[in-house]
Amino acid sequence: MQFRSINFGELTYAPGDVIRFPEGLPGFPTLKEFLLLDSPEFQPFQYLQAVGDPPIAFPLINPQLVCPEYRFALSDEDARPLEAERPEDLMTFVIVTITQPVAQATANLMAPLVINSRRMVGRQIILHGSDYPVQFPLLRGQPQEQPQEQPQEQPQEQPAACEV
Amino acid sequence: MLVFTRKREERLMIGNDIEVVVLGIGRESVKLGIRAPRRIAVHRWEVYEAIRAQNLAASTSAAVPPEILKKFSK
Repeated sequence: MQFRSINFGELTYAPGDVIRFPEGLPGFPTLKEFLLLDSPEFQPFQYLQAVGDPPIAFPLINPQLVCPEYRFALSDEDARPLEAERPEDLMTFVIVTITQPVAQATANLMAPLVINSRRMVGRQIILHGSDYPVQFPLLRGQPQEQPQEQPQEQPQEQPAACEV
Repeated sequence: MLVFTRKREERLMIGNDIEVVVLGIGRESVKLGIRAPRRIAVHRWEVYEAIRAQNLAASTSAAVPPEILKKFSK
């Protein structure tokens, strides 16, 4: 099967490559089939690319790269639709929003994607009761080379944890 | 929008399996209880909306500029 992807041009994929998101994603309830795309030139980012037309994709990153202490417990309500039997089958990503200038890019730590790579089923879960932010600065702690055009909302000194 | 007036302890049914009960009425807020099957996710609107808006923003930012990749390759 073939379709046009956002960053990788024309793609051929097999039915076994498709990851089902039975509920879609908040804002995208009708997108239920995705491919997880990976390319050395885009490291450390990966893409959750919806299968279909028009092409829609979400940049992803491994949350440990953004926040090494990132942890959450998967509720029963979220674990069941993921058909999770073994924790080692589950992969966690967070969705990245790339901004201009890139110094203000953020990762959504409050609503991670969990994918069961054995069953090829995924879900965006919402961490109720956690203080992980929807907009966590991706480049926290890295020197900001871009001039700031608007006042920073985030304080320069961030707490050690990624929660706010 | 369907509008109902309900007293404390009164209920609504949504479909066959979602029950909403008014548990308490304060001056500025009402306390609602929701009984729904586990497959139905219930969220505070503001939380869901923030995530919906962020997903939308992320989907329109899908092209990764090379500068950000450079900043990550430490």
